[in-house]
Amino acid sequence: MISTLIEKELKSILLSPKFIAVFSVCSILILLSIYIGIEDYRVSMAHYEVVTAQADQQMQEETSWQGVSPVINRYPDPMQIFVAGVQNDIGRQATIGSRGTIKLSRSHYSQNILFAFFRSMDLMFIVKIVLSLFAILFTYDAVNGERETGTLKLSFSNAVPRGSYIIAKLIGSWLGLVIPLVVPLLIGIALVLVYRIPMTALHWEKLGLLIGLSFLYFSFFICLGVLMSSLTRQSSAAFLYLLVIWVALVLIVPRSGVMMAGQFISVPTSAEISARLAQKTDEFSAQYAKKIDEFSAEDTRKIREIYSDKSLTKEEQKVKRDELSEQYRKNINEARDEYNRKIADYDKSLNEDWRNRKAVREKYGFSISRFSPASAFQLAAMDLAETNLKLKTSYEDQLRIYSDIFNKFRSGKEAETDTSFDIMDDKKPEKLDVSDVPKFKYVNADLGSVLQSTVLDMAIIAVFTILAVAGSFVAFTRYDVR
Amino acid sequence: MFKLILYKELREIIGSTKFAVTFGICSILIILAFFSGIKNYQTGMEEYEASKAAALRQYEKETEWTKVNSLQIFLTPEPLMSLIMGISNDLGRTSYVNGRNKPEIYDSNYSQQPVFAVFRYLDLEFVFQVVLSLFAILFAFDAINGEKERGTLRLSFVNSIPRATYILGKITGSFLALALPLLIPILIGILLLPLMGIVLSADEWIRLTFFIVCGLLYLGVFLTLSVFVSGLTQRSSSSFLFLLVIWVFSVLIVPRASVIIAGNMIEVPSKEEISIKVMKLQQQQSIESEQKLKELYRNYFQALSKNSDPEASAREEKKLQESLEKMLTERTKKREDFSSRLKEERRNIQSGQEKLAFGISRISPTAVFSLASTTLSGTSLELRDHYQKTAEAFSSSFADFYFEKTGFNIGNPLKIMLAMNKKEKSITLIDTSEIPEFVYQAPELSFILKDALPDTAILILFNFIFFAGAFVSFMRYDLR
Repeated sequence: MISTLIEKELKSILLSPKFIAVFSVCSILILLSIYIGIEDYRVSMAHYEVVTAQADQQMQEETSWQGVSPVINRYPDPMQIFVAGVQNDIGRQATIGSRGTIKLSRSHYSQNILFAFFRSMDLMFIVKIVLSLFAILFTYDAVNGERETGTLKLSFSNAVPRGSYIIAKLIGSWLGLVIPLVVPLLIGIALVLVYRIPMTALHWEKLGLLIGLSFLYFSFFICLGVLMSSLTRQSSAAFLYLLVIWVALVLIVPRSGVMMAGQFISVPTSAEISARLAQKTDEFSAQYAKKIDEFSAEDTRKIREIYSDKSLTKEEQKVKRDELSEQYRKNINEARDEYNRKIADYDKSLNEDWRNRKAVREKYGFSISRFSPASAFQLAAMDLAETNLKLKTSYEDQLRIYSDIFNKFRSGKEAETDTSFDIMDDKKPEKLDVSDVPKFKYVNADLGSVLQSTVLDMAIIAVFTILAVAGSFVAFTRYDVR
Repeated sequence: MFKLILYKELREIIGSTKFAVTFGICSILIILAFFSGIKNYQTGMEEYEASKAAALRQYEKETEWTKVNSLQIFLTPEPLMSLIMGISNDLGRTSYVNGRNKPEIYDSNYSQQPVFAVFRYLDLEFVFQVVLSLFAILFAFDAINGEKERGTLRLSFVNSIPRATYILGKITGSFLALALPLLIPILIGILLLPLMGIVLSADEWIRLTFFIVCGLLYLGVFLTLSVFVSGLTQRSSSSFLFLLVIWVFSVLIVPRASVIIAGNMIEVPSKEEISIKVMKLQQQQSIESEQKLKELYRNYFQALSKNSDPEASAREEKKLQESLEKMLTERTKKREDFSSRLKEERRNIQSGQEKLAFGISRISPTAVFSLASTTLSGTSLELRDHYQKTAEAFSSSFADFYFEKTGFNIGNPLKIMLAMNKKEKSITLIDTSEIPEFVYQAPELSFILKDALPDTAILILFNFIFFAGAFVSFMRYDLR
């Protein structure tokens, strides 16, 4: 019985003119979004390569280790093709200075404001907005539409169990809508292969999960449509209510949650943080300058002693002077390293505190937003693609570690090199050998941790879907089929 | 007759459940958009004041004006920016001015607080653009074919009603039924402004009024379009499907696609590429300067060794200072010229890209509305250009202030060194309130209105075209 009902449902969906129109639009949009994502990714890669090559070249032109400050550009990830997330909003470049303060700046949108005007159109956006709307469009009259046309009464003139009927409706609608979407998705994946996007096994796993998540989200709206159709007598009323729910769930609740959290939890501005850092830097600078003065005074005093000591020969005086110079340079380098370390530590603690306060706000904002499955879907999709809010913090953390490594390397190099500036020396400065400068490589999270961060949102959508299925079941068993 | 049809349409819509539900939702959303806009503005102002104070606090312990050689400035929030946000959250909000280099704007709200970038804000533009347009379709998708399906169309034309009067009454009635009730939440929202302590200038009131007019025109576009499609199709379900597809394309696809097309057609060099080129020049200059510096000092010491009387020493020192200053000025000028040329080139290409993108996007009424509303609120791309210009003007006035206080230009290392090493150091703290204050001001009203006029005209044109389409399609409509 169920198979006959499913077959009937499938036929009625697949043969309707609505299906052809909606399927064509969805297919075009899915393919377009993937194609645009690929193009954007290629542009990002080209930009990354140009900027990185120029930065490397600039480093190779350096003549003093003191001037070497690697410019690190954020490496584009292929998952941004499907879920852009906040990757266009956060900075994509950081300079590794001697002070160890790290800040990703120059976001794609702030540099190319035109692209921010209408925002991006990725697969996540199509699924979240368009497919959910179309799922409603297909299912709003699943039950009451049949009542209006009289076919419901006709169906129940046979001995059809209500449970089987509603389950068949749900399965039929799901199969009729989800299976055809697999076609443009597969073509989209083929495009990724044709354009030779460097997808690793992890990327494919994440993409598989993303598609699964999208189907789960889509299923929720299918079930919601059937539920509302079973709760109302007229299909027009069901559609109106569904549209209102859709507007609320997809467009309003996600925004309201974060905006409410923004109002209730205040976080210091970036300028306040910068000003605090600048104030502390001034303090450390004064301490550093004082130390330098002390070293200089000590050095001068000792030089005088050497030259006033008549018992020493000229050669001995020179040896002693050289030893003194070496000690002086060592002291200066140590003081500078300490100064830089103090600033880096302060910056780290300042940022940690700032980040914690931001995290509290994010937690509350997202918790409120999660009342909508659309928010849960978006957050899970961004987690899977690693284009979520952690992208910035994770990049900056890894850059901080790299900064420590690099600064140690540079200090070592500076200690090896004679940095004295002699006015009488007419020798042209030589270019540095920067081939052994440590390279930065961003390490993505592994599948386990990605899954861990998405599991809550996946569960939320699953619970919403189960509730919609159960609701449909209960509502239909009580439905007046006349 | 026209009045009768108008009343019938008004009664029919206002008495429907659909109206009650959508009106309720729209009212809540509009009031919420006003309320959250006001709250955002207040938060923005608090942050702005805190940031400004924090930036000045750095100089509170200084005793020498020479230390005040750069100043952090911030984009001043405006109430309309919070109601219709446009690019204001994507654009950098701060910049350092130092009187020498062109200020670079950075740190956008979204880059600093990406949590808000995840779902974006709920502003008035969004409510009109997405929600109200969808509801306009919902009200009018069955304006003609729905009546036919119910049999009321045939019934109406049993009487001698001119078709023109009927369709005119239908469109006017639908528009009034949608627009007039919307004015209530809009007025409540406007009332919230003074109640929550927001004072708008006369210019801002005019801009807000124009925005509301544009919003109503935009609603008119979707309403007339819906009646048009309803007059072209026999079944209301078909017209709704077509309209929903058009809505998806107009609201969600065309605006985004236009930018992507323009982005692919015109490639703009990135700012990072420019700054690396400038840094490379700077690097080259440093090497050259080092050589030149050595030469200057060698000549100076040689001259001193030849003639060591105080007058000659002073003369040589002056000569050295002049040479150093000349070298520095030339070096800065060369770098600034190079950087300006690159930036200018980029700006021109970018401007071409923007024109192309917006040109294509204007086939969508949503994009047209978006462009008009952001222009009126001062949050269009013009905000970037105007903010940049204002920051540059402030930078040069800051340079004048620095000169007035110190007697030399910002960035003169020799003078700074001399000032720092002078024996008689000031013991009085500088008065930071003397530091000029940067306040961003929107362009003049006439300029804004002139800018918004073409898009407003396009919205009127869309209304006219769809109205004419609805009129013609109904004239030929089979009433049976």
